[in-house]
Amino acid sequence: MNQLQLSSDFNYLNNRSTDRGYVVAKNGAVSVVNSDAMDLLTSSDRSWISDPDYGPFLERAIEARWLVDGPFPRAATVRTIERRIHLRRVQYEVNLFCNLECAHCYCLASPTASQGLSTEFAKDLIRQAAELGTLHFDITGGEPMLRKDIFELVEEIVGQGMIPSIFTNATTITAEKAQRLKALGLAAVQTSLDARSPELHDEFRGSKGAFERAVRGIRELKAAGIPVSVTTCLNKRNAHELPEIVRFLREDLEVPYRLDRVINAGRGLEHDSPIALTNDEFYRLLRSLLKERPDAVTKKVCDSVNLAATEVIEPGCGVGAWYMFIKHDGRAAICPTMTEAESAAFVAADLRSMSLAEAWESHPTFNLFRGVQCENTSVCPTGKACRGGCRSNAYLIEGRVDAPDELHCNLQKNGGDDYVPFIAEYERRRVVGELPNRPNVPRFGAARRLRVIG
Amino acid sequence: MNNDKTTTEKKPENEVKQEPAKKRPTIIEISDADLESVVGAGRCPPDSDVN
Repeated sequence: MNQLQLSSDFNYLNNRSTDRGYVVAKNGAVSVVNSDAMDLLTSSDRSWISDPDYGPFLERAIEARWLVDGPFPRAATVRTIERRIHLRRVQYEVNLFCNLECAHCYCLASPTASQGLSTEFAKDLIRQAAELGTLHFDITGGEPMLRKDIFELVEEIVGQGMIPSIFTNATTITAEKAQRLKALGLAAVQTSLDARSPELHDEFRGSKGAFERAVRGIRELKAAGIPVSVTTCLNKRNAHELPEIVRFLREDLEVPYRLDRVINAGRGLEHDSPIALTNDEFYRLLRSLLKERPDAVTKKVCDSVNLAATEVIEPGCGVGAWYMFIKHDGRAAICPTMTEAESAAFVAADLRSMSLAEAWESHPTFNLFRGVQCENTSVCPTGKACRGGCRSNAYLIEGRVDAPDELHCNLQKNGGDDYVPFIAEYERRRVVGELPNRPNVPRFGAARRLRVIG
Repeated sequence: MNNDKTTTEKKPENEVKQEPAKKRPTIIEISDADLESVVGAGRCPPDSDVN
């Protein structure tokens, strides 16, 4: 028993300031313990293992395979930090350069766009993130696989004790690249397909053959053992294909997926005839899908839930709480679509002239939006289920960062066929005193008038 | 443990031998990384949902 040691299948991080320890599996799964638990796990003194008082904890730690009995010395990454505001996830847009030019790209990536900053800048950023206790470091673009140093960056992330993932269009993934990424420790890939018919997808992507190349890339990643998740951006032009798209993703590619929609950002704003679906249209689309295939999404939607929201609920994505997006030019943003491009209110911290710690802990924008959340979350019966939805979608549609994300409201509370305009309902209840007055938080008008309001 | 119950005079605090405090290990959440099929923003990282 005294030979039990930390498993190298996990990274271990203890944040003494928040009394939280994180055991992060190499596939990205995060388990949370308190600092005392982390002290015991990472202590070189193993005498506690025979103390019966610690029996139940020891049992759980062995069951979770955090502690293993192995004949060989194992090297596990252990970090200890003291950070009151813990930056747990960083997503870095390493370029805007892309071999495709998608009709709905939120960041305007294209074959003529920026190649991003230097390898030295990227690696320094990775090291700074590790020092701050970042657990996950995601690489996005543009098309990250077109950077010559992509393997070097993945290696650096893993070497610094963080979990890497890549957002790619998958069109340039070969068997060799997939195997190399797997060997380096890439935990996951997110990619996207926007139609079942190759012609429609290719038209969207501005490149003939894009569908076939992406599907081939997805298959290579899967064959190499890298988990792949596929996003489909629904819009007015591909909505009719939704059942076939889901069937293809589920049964042919056998991948989990996200059903998203074209948003009013980047190239999504440039269409003469808006292609974005309204909340109402998107909801009806999902309802018809769920009637046909109740298992189409594994995360519950359209179910009545009754959870008391009595605590501070951070957004599930970490926006404003523990997540930072870094743009291709080194400017830090609150999230991919809460940047200076969306509103001058989201003034960016420039990481070419300030450290990551300075930006995260002291920059006025991060301070201003720290704790940003739907204004109703703490009093809403489904607050714990939706976790406030998407702050960016709320902003892009309503023009307020603390507005409800009405689509998520509806997905959580409404199991009927008709869309319920929850924002109007909240306003009515506020007027009659059933909901508290709004807290005094900064408000920003919509920088762009948006088209998705029906 | 201090078993000296017969002592009538209280020792100055700095002379009382204290056992090191026991750790109180707590497991708050154990998660797996199974990716789910969800409705959500594809531009963002997966919902980590960890506090």
